[in-house]
Amino acid sequence: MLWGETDLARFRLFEIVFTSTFAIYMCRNLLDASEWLTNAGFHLSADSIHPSRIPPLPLLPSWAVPFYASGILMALITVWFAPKWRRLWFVCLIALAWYAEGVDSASAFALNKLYIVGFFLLAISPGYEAAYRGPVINTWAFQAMLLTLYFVTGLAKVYGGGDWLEHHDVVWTHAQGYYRTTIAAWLLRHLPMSGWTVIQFAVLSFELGAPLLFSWSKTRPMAIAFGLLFHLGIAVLMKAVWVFSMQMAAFYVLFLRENTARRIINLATEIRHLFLKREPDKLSVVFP
Amino acid sequence: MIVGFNKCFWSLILFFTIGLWIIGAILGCLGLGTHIPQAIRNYTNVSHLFPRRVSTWSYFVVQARFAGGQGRWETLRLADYSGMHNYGYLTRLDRVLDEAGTPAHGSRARLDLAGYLAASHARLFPSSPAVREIRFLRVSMPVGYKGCAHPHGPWVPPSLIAVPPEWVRQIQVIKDTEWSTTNRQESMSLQNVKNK
Repeated sequence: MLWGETDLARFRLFEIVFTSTFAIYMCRNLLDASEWLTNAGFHLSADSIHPSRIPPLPLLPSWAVPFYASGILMALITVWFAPKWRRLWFVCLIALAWYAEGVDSASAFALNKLYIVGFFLLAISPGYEAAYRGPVINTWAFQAMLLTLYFVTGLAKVYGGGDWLEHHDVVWTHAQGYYRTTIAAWLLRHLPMSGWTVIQFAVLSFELGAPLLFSWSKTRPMAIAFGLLFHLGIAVLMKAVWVFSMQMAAFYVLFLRENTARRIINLATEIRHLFLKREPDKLSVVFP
Repeated sequence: MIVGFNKCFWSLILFFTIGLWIIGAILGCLGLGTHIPQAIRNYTNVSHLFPRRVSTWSYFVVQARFAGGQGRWETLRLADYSGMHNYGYLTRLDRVLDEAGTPAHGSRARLDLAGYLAASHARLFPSSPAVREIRFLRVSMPVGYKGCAHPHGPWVPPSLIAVPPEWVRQIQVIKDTEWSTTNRQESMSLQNVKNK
């Protein structure tokens, strides 16, 4: 049953990891904050933006940039250490991610939209009681989100013109462009076309088969291994796409064994207690 | 064990929301979600990455003519004007140019960018002559071209001299009078708003 109570260590771990990947992604962009968020950089005006796009949000004055960065840091700390305020901070994270996209679409990619969707679902999720127990739908919803992402991506490859079925060199053509890293260049020189074809159909099969491969316990370890390798491959072959790989890899904690997730959560709690040199029972509210 | 009403309520909300999102995502990838409002489609059509084979890799080359430069076009390195390399090996400004869209829709965006580049150039290279004219070229490099299919390293756009002329299209040429006029008009409208 959707609201049947279960161990939510995996869900708890997911919200920590997912939020942390958002903070890392934002930190990367904040390295160029003045160009991205303020009028020091070039920004399209409402008149010059493409008609299909939403008019840009107002830019920040320079003095407000540290407040924006602090908002992300505060949200991260709260999600890590004070989960009882989680819903409030996920709403803040939605606002921060939405602003990032609205102020400058040129520095926000599909992953920014995925963060907005993810934080929205986290904000409306029922969450957990003490000791991270709560409705099983928490975990299922985000597992379904990952599997849907894979499945519809595969479906779009099949229905979006059919190139992935008609041609054997689709991945090879993608490896050549302005995302091409040194490793991709090396592969282009040394991997025969048959190798590129194997990668292409392996990726397509994985994406279309993900709902089944991840749901069946016998194929799940193989699916997890392949999926992580797939995202690692994207990260090393395509410049600047590592942030997307990192975001997708965050979902994989939802497929850990419950015992493993519980051990990681317990370990993190113990480390925190050691770090703060406080008795665990005194922190039971924030870290049961 | 069944948890309380509050948990049931939020469980149902989450269940229906993720259900609608999944339906929207499937409709979107099948091209059936056109009746869904754009604001919602933005968040359901998020995963259609690399759906097609690439036949050409296209990118912009921005060139400038300088005062006293005897009409010679010189290529501007967009990396000098943008520190954000978030678009593969290209910069955020390359993405702005790609997003600007068709020659018709993108002309205003390119005009604004030309003004920005000229002003930034004057600030970054004070000893350089003033920019008099800027042009935007679109290079479309077919896949399989030796420099792309058997590269010696990461992406570096080939020099325009090394590129066959049929790969290059001139998208727009903008004179300094055009961007200064636009800037003046904007300043005047801003002044009018302030006066009102």
